[in-house]
Amino acid sequence: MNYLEELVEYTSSQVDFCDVRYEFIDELSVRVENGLVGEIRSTNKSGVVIRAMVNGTWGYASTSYTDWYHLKEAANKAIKTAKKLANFFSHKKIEIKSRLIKGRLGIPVKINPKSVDIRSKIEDITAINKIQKDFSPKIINAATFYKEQVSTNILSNSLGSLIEWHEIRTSLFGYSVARSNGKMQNSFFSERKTAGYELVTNRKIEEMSMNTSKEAIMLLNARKPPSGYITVIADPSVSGVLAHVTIGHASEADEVLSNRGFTINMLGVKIGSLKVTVVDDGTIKGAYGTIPFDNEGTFPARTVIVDHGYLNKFLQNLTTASLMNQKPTGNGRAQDFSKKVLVRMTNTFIQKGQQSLEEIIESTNNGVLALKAISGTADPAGKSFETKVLYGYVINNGQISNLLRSFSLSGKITEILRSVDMISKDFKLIGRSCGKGLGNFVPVSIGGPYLRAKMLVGG
Amino acid sequence: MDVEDISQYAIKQSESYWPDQIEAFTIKVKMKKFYYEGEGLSGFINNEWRGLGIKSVIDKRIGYSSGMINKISDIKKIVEKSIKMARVSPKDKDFESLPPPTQISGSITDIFDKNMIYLDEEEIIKEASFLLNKAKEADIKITCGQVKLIQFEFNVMNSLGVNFSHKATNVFIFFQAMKERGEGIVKAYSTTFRNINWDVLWQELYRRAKNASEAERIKGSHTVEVIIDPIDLSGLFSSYLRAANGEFIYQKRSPWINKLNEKVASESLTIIDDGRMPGGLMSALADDEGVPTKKKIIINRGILESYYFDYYTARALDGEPTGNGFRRDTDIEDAHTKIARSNLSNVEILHGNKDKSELIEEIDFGLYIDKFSKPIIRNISGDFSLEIRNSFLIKNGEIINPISHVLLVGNIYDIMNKITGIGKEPEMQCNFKLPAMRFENLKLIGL
Repeated sequence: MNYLEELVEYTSSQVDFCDVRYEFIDELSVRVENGLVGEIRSTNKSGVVIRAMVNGTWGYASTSYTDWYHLKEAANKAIKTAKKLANFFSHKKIEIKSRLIKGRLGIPVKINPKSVDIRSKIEDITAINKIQKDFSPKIINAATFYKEQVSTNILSNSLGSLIEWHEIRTSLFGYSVARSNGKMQNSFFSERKTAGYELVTNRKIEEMSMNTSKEAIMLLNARKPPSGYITVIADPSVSGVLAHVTIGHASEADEVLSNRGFTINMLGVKIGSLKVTVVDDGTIKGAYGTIPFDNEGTFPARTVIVDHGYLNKFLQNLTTASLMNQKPTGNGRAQDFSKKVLVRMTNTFIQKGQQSLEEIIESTNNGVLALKAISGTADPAGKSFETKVLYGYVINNGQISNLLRSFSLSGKITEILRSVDMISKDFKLIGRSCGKGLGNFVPVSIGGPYLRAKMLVGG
Repeated sequence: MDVEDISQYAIKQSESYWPDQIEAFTIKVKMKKFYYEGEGLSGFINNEWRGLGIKSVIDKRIGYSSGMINKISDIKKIVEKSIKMARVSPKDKDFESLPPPTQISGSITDIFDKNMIYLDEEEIIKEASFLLNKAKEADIKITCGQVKLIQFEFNVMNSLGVNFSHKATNVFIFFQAMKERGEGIVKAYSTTFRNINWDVLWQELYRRAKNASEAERIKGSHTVEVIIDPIDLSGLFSSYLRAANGEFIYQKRSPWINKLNEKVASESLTIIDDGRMPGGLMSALADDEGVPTKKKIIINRGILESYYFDYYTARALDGEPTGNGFRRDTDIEDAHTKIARSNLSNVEILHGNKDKSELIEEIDFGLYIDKFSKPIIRNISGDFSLEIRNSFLIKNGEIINPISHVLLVGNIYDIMNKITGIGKEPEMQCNFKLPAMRFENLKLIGL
């Protein structure tokens, strides 16, 4: 990519700070449904974003046209809008605390997906789909999706940094729909990592795809869940949603600065049980949210957000770090060059504890075991949390009993966190896509141990 | 090169590879976005891009490739990649053909605002500042806001002779505000910026923020009658109507397989899909495959009357295409990267005869629901348990107080048979035109 440094030079003379980022994303996706290849799709996306800051306000301009004429035009738009906004709003002075870095980084993978013939990929995905579909005649629909994404970023800024980084992500997702006596139920599996094609050839995929169909059939006979304020044993996907949507989003410094986080003025305050430690770590090998740099050229970090129940630190990008007089934590991320850089999580999880799942179940008189989080959302301003799970079990006198169909878990964030009294030593990270505001999806991981807490159950 | 030239050039380039059929979809987009996230966190984004998607067919093998167009050589690369994908793809026995050309005629009003994209940043910020200033005066914090203006132009062309171009504008406005706790949200969708009524938006935002702040909890489990406001009712209908999606029928994922002409909802429910709705965000004379759009009744007085199809699923099921093959949704971004699939265009839920106060007066014990945390139902079974963010408790026909953070439990296919009232004032919410509606016998679970 030409012109990046020239653009920075051109723009920087007229603004307080600027950076220019070129991004190239190359994707391949395959969808197989009921044994038929429904889609083989290759997509390239490339463009440049110029960010200009004047008196604490940002002007952005992005373009897919990469010739000098269009790039200069985009730079002028970024400069003009930053200046106009600066006239409109009185903003605090922002001092960018970025380190000057020059270099190139990538995330190593075992099998580069580009090195695998597309025919092999189609065969492999079709074989996985066949396992799902052939499991039982009750499976009326089975779909399997494969996606690989290889991206390159080059960033130059007015502090003199020039960085290039590469990321490879592979994901596999499948669902099965079962039908019997007019009833329909479904289940799913999902594997997403900063990994290469080794994700698909992993032997456990076969087991996961079979289990997906097995679960869908099993759920046809699941019972209606109980309702009320109940003891819940949450699996790693649910504790991950809890970490991500309650603590994670509320610790994003832009949420705090815009008065949305329930964590405002709470640093050092106890917000959960002593058993709860929440971490965001963008450096975990193979995890879906791992990054070589964030989209502002800051190295990722391990940030302990909640330390044994006490709110410890917020996640920062360059702007919020300046506004809060903190160090950037490598959490400035955007979906792609056309989107705004926000404060975003990477891999966010609750740290594991000492107990086994069996011990937690045995010590629970009445409650539910909640498995496979489908979705999750928090209202940081209203301090509430909600997630849905695919299924669960009744826990009665320390034993697993009836199978339950999908239900919701909800409650006040701090009440749930304070009620956490048992944490397992089993631990899992799960790749997800996280949106913020309106879209702007970035790859993240959520995860944690099995944990026991009180929540509102409804279904 | 304009969008039609790019499509034409792409099809010409493909000739040397001898595909049986080929389709080009070219889109050019300009976008301006003002965002506000509190003091010190505002900015303005200008985006522009030109993208191309190519679908090629060789001996019933289908390949798709897409990318951004900077220079002419990019077009050739995308064509070559698409051909490569088709060559390695297995045969699709159900594929019959790309759509043949059809006479496309007619016109649609209020879908293009020619001056909008040329609005100066200052004018856009000035309009949005009306809300910011009002909030300041009323001592309410705007926690997040966005004004997005989009102008796009696309062309779809195929080797059978389809050649359709379309130009439109979209406006999306979103603001969240907080008084002391909780948040009120307003959204506005339009095809023209001048149609945005900022004063109405402010009144609504203020009301919702105030109510969120004063909301109380409700204890225990109750059977209730609820009125759902159009803002989130559109999300519920979006999930519900997937059952009539041709692709869901074809792939056997729908509970409405073989249910045409059967009763699926209350007699008071009539739902129309209208690809030519004046001012509709999805309106165009043809869909994204170049098949003419039309107005069709999906549910007529509770009876399932038709499914909606893209060309492929229509032919695979021996049906007629309905002009519902879309790559676009109401968010235009990345449209060229997607293969056209069955989707809703603009949906109209026919209004009833009750005003909001009548809907409320007839309730003994229930809720008026303004906002769910996420009004999406993902389960194939239709079961839902949705967290309510903003609502009012109604007792003996009167609004008592705001309520939040309770769960509403039911089944989407079931509640459509329990409609007890439909409002007479439809609103535009995204690609839905619908009034508030009332449902009985739902379960409410509070702390």
